[in-house]
Amino acid sequence: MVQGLDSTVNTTTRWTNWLDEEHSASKRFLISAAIWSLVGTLFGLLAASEYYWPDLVHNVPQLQFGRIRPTHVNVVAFGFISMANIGAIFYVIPELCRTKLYSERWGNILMLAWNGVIVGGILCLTNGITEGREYAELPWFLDIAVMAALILYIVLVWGTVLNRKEKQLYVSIWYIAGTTLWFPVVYLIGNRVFFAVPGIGDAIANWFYGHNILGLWFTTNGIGLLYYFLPKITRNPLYSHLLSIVGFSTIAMFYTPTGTHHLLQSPVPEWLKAVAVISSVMLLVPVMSVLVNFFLTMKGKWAMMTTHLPLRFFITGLFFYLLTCTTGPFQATRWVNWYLHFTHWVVGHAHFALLGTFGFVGWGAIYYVVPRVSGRQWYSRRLANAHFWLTLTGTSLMIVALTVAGLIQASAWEEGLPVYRGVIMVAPFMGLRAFSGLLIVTGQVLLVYNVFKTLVFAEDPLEGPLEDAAGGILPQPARVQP
Amino acid sequence: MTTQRANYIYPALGLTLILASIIFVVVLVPRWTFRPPEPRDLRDYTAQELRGRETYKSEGCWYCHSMVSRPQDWDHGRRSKATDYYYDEYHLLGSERSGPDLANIGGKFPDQYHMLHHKNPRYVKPGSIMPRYDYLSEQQLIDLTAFLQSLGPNGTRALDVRTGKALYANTGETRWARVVDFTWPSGPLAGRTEKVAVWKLSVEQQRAQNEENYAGHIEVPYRYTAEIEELMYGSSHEAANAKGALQALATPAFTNREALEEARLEDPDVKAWVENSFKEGAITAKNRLLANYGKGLFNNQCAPCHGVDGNGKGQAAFTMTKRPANFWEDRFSSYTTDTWYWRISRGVPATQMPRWEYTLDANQRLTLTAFLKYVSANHGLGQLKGAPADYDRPAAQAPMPVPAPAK
Repeated sequence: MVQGLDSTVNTTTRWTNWLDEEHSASKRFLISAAIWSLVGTLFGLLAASEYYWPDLVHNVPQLQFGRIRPTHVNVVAFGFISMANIGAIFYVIPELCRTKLYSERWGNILMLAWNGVIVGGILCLTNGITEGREYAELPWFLDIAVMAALILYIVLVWGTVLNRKEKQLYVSIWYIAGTTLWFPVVYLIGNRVFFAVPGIGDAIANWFYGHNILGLWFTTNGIGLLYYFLPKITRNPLYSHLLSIVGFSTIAMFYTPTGTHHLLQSPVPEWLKAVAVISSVMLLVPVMSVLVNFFLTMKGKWAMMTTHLPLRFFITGLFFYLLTCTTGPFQATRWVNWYLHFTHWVVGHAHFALLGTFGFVGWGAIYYVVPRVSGRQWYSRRLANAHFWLTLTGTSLMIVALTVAGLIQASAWEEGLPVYRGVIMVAPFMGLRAFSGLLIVTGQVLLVYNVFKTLVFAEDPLEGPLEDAAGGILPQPARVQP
Repeated sequence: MTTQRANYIYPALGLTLILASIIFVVVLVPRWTFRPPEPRDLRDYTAQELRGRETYKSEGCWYCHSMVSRPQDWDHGRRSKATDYYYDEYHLLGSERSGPDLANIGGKFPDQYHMLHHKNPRYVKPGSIMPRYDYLSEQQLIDLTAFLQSLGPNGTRALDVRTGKALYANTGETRWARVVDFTWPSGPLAGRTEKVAVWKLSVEQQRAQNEENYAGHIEVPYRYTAEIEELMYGSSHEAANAKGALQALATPAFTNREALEEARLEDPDVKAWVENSFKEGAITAKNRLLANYGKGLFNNQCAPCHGVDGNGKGQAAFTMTKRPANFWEDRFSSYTTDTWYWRISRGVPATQMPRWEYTLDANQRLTLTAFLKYVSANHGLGQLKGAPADYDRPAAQAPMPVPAPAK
C-alpha cells in the first residue's frame, strides 16, 4: 500500500525519478489543488472585503476589485476544483481499470503545465491582461496552453482506459472519458482566440461556454468521481445501473443548450432563449436521476457520515447539489429570471454550485485520495474536522448572505429604486459575506497545513491500514497495538 | 475484447452525434443566421473610444456594470437592441449589477463628473463601493470617459436616423457648452490644471436634483455639488463667464420648467397647440393630427396599464401593487401642462411608471401631454374615439412637427 515510499527507495536514483513514481501525478495534483484552494479563496476574501471596504487597498492596481474578481474565479475553478478533480481521476481511473496510469511522467508534466497556467493566469489577470469573457478571461497564449494541456489529459485518460485489464467500463469512466471529449470542444468555442464572434453574438458563445464549463467539466467530473467514491466507501452496490445511464445520456443533451438563459432579457434570438429555458428545466432529469441514485446507494449507510470525513464532504456536496439544481431550473425560467437576473442571488447560486457542490467534492477527494496515493495517514483529524465545519459554516453563511442580498436588490429595482440605493441597502450582507469568506479561508489554511504536515514535514508517518471504514482519516478502533 | 468494446462504441457515437448537433444548433446556427444589420442610429467607435473600451475591459468594470438595458429596468434608459452592439469586437454585457447599467450612460453626466467619479467615486457619490481608479493615467481616464460618453441614444455615437449626423457631438454645440482649462482651487487635486467640459446644468439644478433623488437616504453630506460649484464657478474666470450662458441651455432631463421651455423653443407650433388647442374642448382639422398622434403614442406606450380610455383599467393593471392612475379623476383635470410634462418625463418612483424622458423625445411627450389633458377633461376619448382618420398620413394634411411614430 505504500508504493509511493517503496518506489523512491527501490529504484536507482535518476533525476527523472520524481516524475515516474507511481501515483505521484495524482498526489501532486491534489497538493496543488489544496494550495490553490487557499490562494483562490484568499483572492475571494480580498474581493469580498473590498465590496464592504472599498478603500481597503488603495493605489495597488493588481489588488483592485475588477482584477482580483476574475483571478479568484479562475484560481478556484481551474486551480482548485479542476486540479482536485484531475488528481482524483488519476487515482480513480487506474483503480477502475485495474491498471496503472498511462504515463506517470506525462502526468507530472501535465501537473507542472497546469500549475504554470494558473501562475501565469494570476500574473496576467492581476495585471489587467484579460480577454473579458467571463470564465474565459485567460489571455490567448494561456488558452492555447490550456488546450495543449487538455489534449495531454485526453491522451492520459484514454491511454489508461484503453490499457485496462477490466473489461467492463464502470459509469465513472463514461463520465470522465466523455468529459475529455466534450470539454475541449466547449473550451474551443468559449475562447476568443479559437472562436471569435463580433457584436452581441459574442455573448452567446461566452455563455455557451460559461454554463458548459460547469455542466460538462465540473459536473461530469465531480459526478463521475462520486459514482466511484460513494459505492466504494459505503460498500453498497450502486442503486440502479439504468438510472446512471439515464443521467449520463441526458446530461450531455440538456446541459449543452442552456447557456442563453444568462441572456434572457438581452437582444438575442428568442428561439435560442426558448431552447435554453426548456433545456434548463429539463436539467431536472439528469440531476434527479443522479441524486436519487446516490441517495438510494447510501441506504443504510447514512450514519457513516458522522465518522467518515471524506464521505461527509461528498454528502454535503450532494445536498448542496440538490439545492443548486432545484433552484437553478426555476431561476432560468423567464419570470423568475426577470426578477432575479443581475442580482447577488446569481452570485450566490454560482457559489452554491462551485463552492458548495464541487468544492466539497474536491476537498472530499483530497481527503480520500491523498492517504492512498502517498501511503501516509493524515497528520491530524481534528484539523480536517475543523476544516469541514469552518468551510461548511462559511459556505452556508455566504449563500444566505448573497441570496438575501439578491432578493433585496431585486425588490429594490422592482420598486424603481436606483441601483446605487440597492448597493447601500445590501451593504450589511456584503459584510456578512466577507466574514463568511474569512471562515472559509481559515478552513483552507488548516487544510494546507494538514497536507504539508502529512506529506512533507510528518515526523512520524502513520502507515496504518487504509481500507478501514474511516477512509484513512478518522479514528481506527480496529487497530490493536501489539 | 472487440465484442466487449462494441457495446460502448455505438452509444458513445450516438451521444457524440447528439452533442455535435446541439452545438451546431445553439452555437453555429446563431453564428450564421443572427447577424444584426449595421445600425443607422449609431456610428463606429473612434480610436480613443476603443482605447477607453480596452481599459473598461481590463480593469474589470464589466463585472459590476452591465451593459444591457432591459425592458423591466427603471432609470436605465431605453431598452438595448441587438444593433447597439454591431461595432463591438467583443461583448461586455456583464452578469451582475453592483453598479448601474451603462448601456445608455452617454450624455447623462458631464465629462467632469466621470473624471471625478473615476478618481474617487465616493467624492461624488457617498456610499458608493466602486474602487478608486486614480492609479490610471490621466489619458486613460479621458479615454474611458470618451468611451462612456459614446454609449446609448444620448451618447456621442448616436446618429440622427433622418440625417445621419451626430445628435450630440462633444463639440460644445449641443450637449456640452464648452471645454475650459480649469485649475483646481482646493481639495486633493489642488493646483492641477485640466480640460473641463462645462456642464449645461446649473449648480442649483444639480442640487435640486440630488436632493430630490437622494433625500433622506444618505447621512453623509453630498459633497458633489459644493465641489463642482467650486470647480466650475468658484475661481475660474472663464467658467464664471460660462455660467450665464449655461443657464439658458438647461437640458430637459432635470427640471420641468426649463425642460418645457427648451422643448417649446424647439417647436413653436407644438407649444402653441399644447397651450391652446383644447381650451375650447373641440377637435379641429388642425389639431386632430397631433391629437391622433398623441393617441397613437398613448395606445402604444401607456394603454397597456392605463387603458385605452385612460381610466386606469389596462390589461396589465391588475398585476401591479400600485394601480395605474385613472385620468378621469378630478385631480387630473387640474394638472397644468407643466405638471403633465414633468410627470411623464420623470415617471413615478416606486411604481412601474417609467421615466419617459429616456424613451420619448420632448415633442412626443408634449403631444402626449396634450392628449392626456384632453382625456382628463373629457373623461374619455370624446371626439377622438374610433379609427384615426388621418393618423397614417400626416404630411399630406398639414406640416407635422413631430417625427413619425416608430413601427
